[in-house]
Amino acid sequence: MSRSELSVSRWLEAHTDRGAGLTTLPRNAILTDIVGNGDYHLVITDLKLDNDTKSRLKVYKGTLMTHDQALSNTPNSVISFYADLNEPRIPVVGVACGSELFLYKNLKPFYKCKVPSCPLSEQESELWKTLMEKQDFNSEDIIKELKKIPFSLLSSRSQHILNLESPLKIEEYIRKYINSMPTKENVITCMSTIEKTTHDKYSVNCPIIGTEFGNIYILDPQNFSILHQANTCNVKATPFIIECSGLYDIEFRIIVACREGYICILRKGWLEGKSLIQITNDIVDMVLIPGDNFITVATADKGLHCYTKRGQKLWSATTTNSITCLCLVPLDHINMYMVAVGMKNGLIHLYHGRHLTDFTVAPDTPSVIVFGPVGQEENVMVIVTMGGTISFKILKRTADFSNRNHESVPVLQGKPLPLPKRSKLFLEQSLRERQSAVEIHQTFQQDLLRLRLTTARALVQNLSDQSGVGNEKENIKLSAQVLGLGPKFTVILTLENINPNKVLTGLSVTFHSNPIFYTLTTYIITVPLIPPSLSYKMETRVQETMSETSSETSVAELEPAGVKVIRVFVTRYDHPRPILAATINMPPTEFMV
Amino acid sequence: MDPMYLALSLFRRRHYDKCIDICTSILDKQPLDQAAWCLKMRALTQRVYVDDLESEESPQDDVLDENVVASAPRPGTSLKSTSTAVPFTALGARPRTATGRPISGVVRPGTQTGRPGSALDRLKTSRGTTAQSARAIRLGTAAMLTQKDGPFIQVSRLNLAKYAKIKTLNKPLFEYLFYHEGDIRNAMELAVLATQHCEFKDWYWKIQLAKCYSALNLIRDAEQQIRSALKQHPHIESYIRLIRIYIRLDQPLSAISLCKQGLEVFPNDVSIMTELARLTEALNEPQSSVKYYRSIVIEDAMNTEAIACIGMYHFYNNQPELALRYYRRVLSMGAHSPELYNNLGLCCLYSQQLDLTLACFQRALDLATDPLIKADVWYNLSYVAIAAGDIGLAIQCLNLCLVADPTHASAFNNLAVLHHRSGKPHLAKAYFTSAREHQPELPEPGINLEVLQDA
Repeated sequence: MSRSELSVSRWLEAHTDRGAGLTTLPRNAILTDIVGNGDYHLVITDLKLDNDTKSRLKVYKGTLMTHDQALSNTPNSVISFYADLNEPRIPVVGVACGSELFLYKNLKPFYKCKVPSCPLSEQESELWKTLMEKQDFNSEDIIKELKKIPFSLLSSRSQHILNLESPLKIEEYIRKYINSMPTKENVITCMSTIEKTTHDKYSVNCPIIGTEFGNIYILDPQNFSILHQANTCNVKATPFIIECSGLYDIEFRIIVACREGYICILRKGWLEGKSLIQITNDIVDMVLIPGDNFITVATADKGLHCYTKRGQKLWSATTTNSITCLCLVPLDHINMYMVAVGMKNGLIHLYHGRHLTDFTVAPDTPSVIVFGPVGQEENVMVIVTMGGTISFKILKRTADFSNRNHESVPVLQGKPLPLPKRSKLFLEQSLRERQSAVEIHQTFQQDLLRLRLTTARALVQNLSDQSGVGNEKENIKLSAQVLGLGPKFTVILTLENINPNKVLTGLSVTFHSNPIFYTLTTYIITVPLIPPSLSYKMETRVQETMSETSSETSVAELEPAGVKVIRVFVTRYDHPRPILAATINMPPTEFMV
Repeated sequence: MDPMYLALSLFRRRHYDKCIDICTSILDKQPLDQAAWCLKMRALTQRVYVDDLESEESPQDDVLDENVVASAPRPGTSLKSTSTAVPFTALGARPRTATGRPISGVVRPGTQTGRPGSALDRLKTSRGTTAQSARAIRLGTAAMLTQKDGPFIQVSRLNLAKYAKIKTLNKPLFEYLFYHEGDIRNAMELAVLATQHCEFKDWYWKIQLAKCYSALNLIRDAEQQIRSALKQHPHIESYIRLIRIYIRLDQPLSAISLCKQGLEVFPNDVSIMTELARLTEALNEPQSSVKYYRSIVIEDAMNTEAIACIGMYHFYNNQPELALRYYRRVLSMGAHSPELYNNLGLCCLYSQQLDLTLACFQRALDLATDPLIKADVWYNLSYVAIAAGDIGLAIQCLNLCLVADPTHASAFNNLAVLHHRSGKPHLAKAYFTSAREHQPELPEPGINLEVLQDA
């Protein structure tokens, strides 16, 4: 993304109310045409977790709150859907509180449906039945009986009894409720809707409910009876996000994210879902991208992952901050789906596929992001932050997302590396490794010590004649170059000051060569001051003396490898020891035949 | 015993020096004894004979090469372009020497002469050279030294036209001139006269002419001669010489098709298959190359080159344990070189046979006399040190590598990385820069420098 693109934001800041004081969780905010006149309202729940204040259902018309009513219980999700084909088309708003679903039409409550409660375990119901018959009990016996049943299988009443401390309170509590059987509430954890027969803006939708005990219910939109019931997964899994695609009457897929890290799939006619993906980290949020049906999952470790509908991983990206919520941003006019990623500190990134295409900022960490029409405006992003601020951002109609720079992002390798087959030999060798691990380790350590000694010796050898490419203590580096085909050569020496702070002064370079082989133009060069991190180049011309005798008489004086050399010493004025020495292997003169 | 018979026997038993002595004494008595003269020539030739097929080739002077077909050949049709742009194969990029030769367990003809590069490169670098011309001169002088009383044959006084007509003498004389004297011009003159005399019917002379032509860099003429010789008599040597000529002309695809043609005439011939395997490897097709090497091993279970190359293939295919087996086979066949021990050490390291690793490297160090090989051993030892988690030792090893070979670009790069990790970015930068200077085509230093600049 170029800088010029970034300088002008694609978003208009429409309204921000820092004093709204809202506490809203993901999936508790929707944009819906609540009165049926095409004027979209924002419907949110405002959670109050204190005992004395009740949570509220609030409706914003534009940026103004027009409606505010109390809810009986803590809400956990809000949906809206068209229940029938009657004109005018007014959607039903559903608010799940506890195990009940409250349905509102025209902002007036008109129906309440309750999720069937779970059957009690046999032992527990037996216990309570006897209590009801006898009307007489010993609280210690009851505690003992209840403790035999796993805690998680108990009804909330029995769990409460186990949590009470004094026997007196227990007795009082039991007396209070002795005439009724306890029930095991199946609390609603999440909701969604699925289109029933057609894909249409105004099509009839069926609500889907996920509960604490892992049940998924699909309800009839007219009489709210259960159309289909299924379990989320074959293992214990608590759904907390439901996303769906397809049509209820034809074929559908329900993707369920569970608190345990599973992502399960449920299709038409299935009584039990199948685990599709298992994520080791906690799932923060999930969206299903329409069209491709790609599942985009945000995890607690700043990860954003994308999977196909079959559960194959497509890509992973790491965000800069931890993710708090996701929101699908459908842009119908350019046929594009993006995902808004809300992160800690208020940054909101927009991803198209795996590419980061845009960003915007919220006043603080966003808690919920919704995108859709508000009032007459088509594309509005509504953000409710953790601090209670509500903020409206309008996407400019001229916003252009087409010129994205794909090259800046490296392509993640989707396929695993092709590894060769594990050979039989490998297995044999690994067997040997396992059997004599101690011996192998000891030998290796001994050899390593020996290697250190050899290395140290060789280094001392080099240190004594100061050969090497550089002197790290003095921070200088020397490199040499020989140009020419011979018998005339040019030797270029580069002396580099590696130290970034200090200058090099008082150096001189001395050349040493056998006069039988070479004559040099200069033998001593005084090096001027070398500023930090710069280098100094010097050159000397070398003439090879081509006498017949030289080739025969002085074979013994050649270097062991049989090459002729010129030695270079870098010295300080006052020190007799060179600080750096190098040997230049001179190439033999090329005879032109 | 008849001295002539004794000399022949000694020649057969390869006691060339003794054979030459006896021939000399015969010739002292009878200076015109053609048999002794011929035998002495052959003995002298054999004494210095170098298999010029398996020896190094003459370097190609790029500047003066008038046979270059295209300056920007299409991918896969040239051997020269591969050295600069290493394509990523399934095996990933293999390490190469400074001249772009894939590092393998064996030294092969034509792979070492590349070291100095072209004359143009020489103007920039500081490497020594070993050219064919220099070798020929060295051989000549070495032969001369042993003869105190002047050369055996005064070539300039030789009546070549006379000897070219004597069928029994012309071939030994040619070989003497070509191999012993290194006098290619006179040898060629003799070959021209001889082939004229036998009315161009003897394929031998055509091959010899081609040898002379290619030594004089007249490659297209050499190609013509061999083609015509092959028509008369298909011979493995002729095929291989022609293949070499195509490689010199940088036409690997024609060379490969010629190899396949040759294999139809001589099915499963080891030398032609070796050429084919080398060619495919040079074209970066390791899979097909290793296929040919495998068929070579089926024919000749003692072929060191093939075994070592299969080992190398397995090593870079992430199967060091298999590579180890092949290199051990080479070792048990009697090879004893620092490179082999170095490879064994690396295989041991990567197949987790740690107790043998350093023993192998120690041997390699002890055997390595060539500073370049010593540098490579120290370079590999730095990897052992890194694997053992001793960064200090690794830095020391790399420093020693650079002492042995101050132009080792990979060592500079690795040293820079290690220094950067130990918190000396300015040092790292200097080393990266010198790595890039020494081998600009190496991708790592450039990328690392960019990273350093961004940071």
